Amino acid sequence: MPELDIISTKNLSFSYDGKSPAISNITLGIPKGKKTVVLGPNAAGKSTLFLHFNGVLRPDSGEIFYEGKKIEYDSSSLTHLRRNVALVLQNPDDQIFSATVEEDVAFGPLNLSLPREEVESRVEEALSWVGMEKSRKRPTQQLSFGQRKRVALAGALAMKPSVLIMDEPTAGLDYEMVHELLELSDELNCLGVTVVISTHDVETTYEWADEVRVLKSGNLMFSGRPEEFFEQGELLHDLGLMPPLAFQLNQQLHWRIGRPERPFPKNIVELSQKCFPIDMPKLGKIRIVCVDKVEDFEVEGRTNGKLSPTHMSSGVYGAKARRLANEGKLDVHYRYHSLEHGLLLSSLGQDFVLYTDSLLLNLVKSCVKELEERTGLHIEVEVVAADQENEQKAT
Amino acid sequence: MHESAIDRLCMNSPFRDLPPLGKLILSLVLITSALLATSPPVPLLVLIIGIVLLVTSSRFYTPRIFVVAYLDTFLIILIGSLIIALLTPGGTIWNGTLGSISLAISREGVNLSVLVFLRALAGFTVLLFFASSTSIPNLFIALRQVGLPKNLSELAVLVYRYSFLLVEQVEQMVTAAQCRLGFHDLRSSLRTLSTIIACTFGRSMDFAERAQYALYCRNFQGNFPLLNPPSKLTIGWLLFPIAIFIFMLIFAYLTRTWMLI
Repeated sequence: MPELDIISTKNLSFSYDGKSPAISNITLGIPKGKKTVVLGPNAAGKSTLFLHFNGVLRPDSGEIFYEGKKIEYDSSSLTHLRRNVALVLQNPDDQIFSATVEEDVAFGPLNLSLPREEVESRVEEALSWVGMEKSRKRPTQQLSFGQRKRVALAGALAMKPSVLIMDEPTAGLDYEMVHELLELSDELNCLGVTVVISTHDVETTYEWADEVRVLKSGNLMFSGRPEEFFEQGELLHDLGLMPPLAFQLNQQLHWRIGRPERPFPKNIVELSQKCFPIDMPKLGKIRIVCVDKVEDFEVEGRTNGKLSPTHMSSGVYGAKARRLANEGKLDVHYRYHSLEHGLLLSSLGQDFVLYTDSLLLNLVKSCVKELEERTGLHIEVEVVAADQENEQKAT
Repeated sequence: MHESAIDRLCMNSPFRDLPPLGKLILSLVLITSALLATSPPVPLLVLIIGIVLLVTSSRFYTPRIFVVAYLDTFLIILIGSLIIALLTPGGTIWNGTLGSISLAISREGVNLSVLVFLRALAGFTVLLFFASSTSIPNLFIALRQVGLPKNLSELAVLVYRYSFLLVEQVEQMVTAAQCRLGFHDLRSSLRTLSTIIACTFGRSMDFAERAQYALYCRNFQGNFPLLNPPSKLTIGWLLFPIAIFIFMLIFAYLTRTWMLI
């Protein structure tokens, strides 16, 4: 197996009833440190595959590898596997069995026999990641569906896994929650966690994923990069899928006016620049304020006295910054898609203030760099305040 | 859901963190005192204590289900007491007729009915205090201290948790059936009800299977460890109810002749 795959399978087959296979002969790899989407319709075998990754189901035939080593099913090997590979099930009610939020989040770490202080700190950290720290003592049956999803995710995060697998995490969630979840996945990925999600959504797959694995009726149909997958029109047709809108528009640009297809625009900024290129004399600047460094967030635009024009557009990126905005400590224009808005406004010559966490600094910088590589736009990034230690942790 | 209302009361109760077994013993002591007394003062005192504890525990928040339950019980106890007053023989203090039936109320009947009324109401109030300050999972976990097998207490906690989910499912199924005229006459109502019951059983099996997967996913090692187990019963919490019990017995003895009439 290639060394870069953190989880891989070889000729994996499984059947629930011994007759009709739920998955058959699947050989695939989940690249380490990447964001992977497992795409497929209902009953494609996505959940079954995930249960194999976590060692819950044993294959009828074939093998599964974690970090290159074949998965064994004795107690200590499974504990080691489940410590590192956390699975969030599609329905949070299946996963929450404790009476209160904190007890449920602590369930996994307590099963690892960690010291109480460590468990406490993990529970606190996990609940703060998902914005549920104020509901710590609440009974689980009193939570809404979205809150239960958060608690289920916090339960997985409290394990501090190397691989986070989420089975249809966006199903049944509102727009804001979907966005928060994907942004949180970006944050975790930035910290080195391999994130795997299953979905039916081609837009999310195209925009968010580094890699895609496509399943249908228990068979692996495709394995590779999202843009490569969406280029395969015939396969898409067989699967009954439509390419994402950005991809289709890019194709039209190519067919109608001969613009080169590559690099494929992945978001509205890249697409806009490709469709309607503007030659601005001077592009805007993105000023990054790291919320873990700056203490006083009373009024947007006055932080440390360094952000002078108070009318400057601003946004939050990341769980910590959004929490400050939600608590009313930060007054911003954008709470969702802030980085995208920032890049879009900068490409139009306007400055933008982005409040984020030092851990995400490199992620923001890499997004700006990627945009530069894809579109040729050179957007200046100024870091107003950053925590060096956290920044290095993310690196 | 009514279960949620009671659950919410438990979670917000100022007595939440007190030892569940201590609260249980105190409640039992108060109820027993009220039952052992042969005159109204002790049950009356227990009723007053129960009301104070209940009001403090619920922080003056009274969910509808509590009000309905209390009024229902009050009414049932009142009717029962009236029947006792009418049926107990003794020195007649009032008689009359209701149609062709002659009625008579005796002094002993009035005294007994007042005693029964106060005992029952006091007992119910104390039980409500206990229910509003102690969650079921905490009680079952606390019962381990007095020898309840661990497996049984964990099973009870799981049953409690999943019962909410099943109730939710049943509510959804009832709504869905109502939308499709499932309850429009007696025959269809019975048919729908039986279908829902069968379906609930099927779903509970489904739940069980998925819950098992989830347990394994989260590194289940065969037991449910707790981050914050409920407080344990201490000597103090054992002595305090005993002291109350002795006080009540003495009070009952001193007031044994205090009858209403």
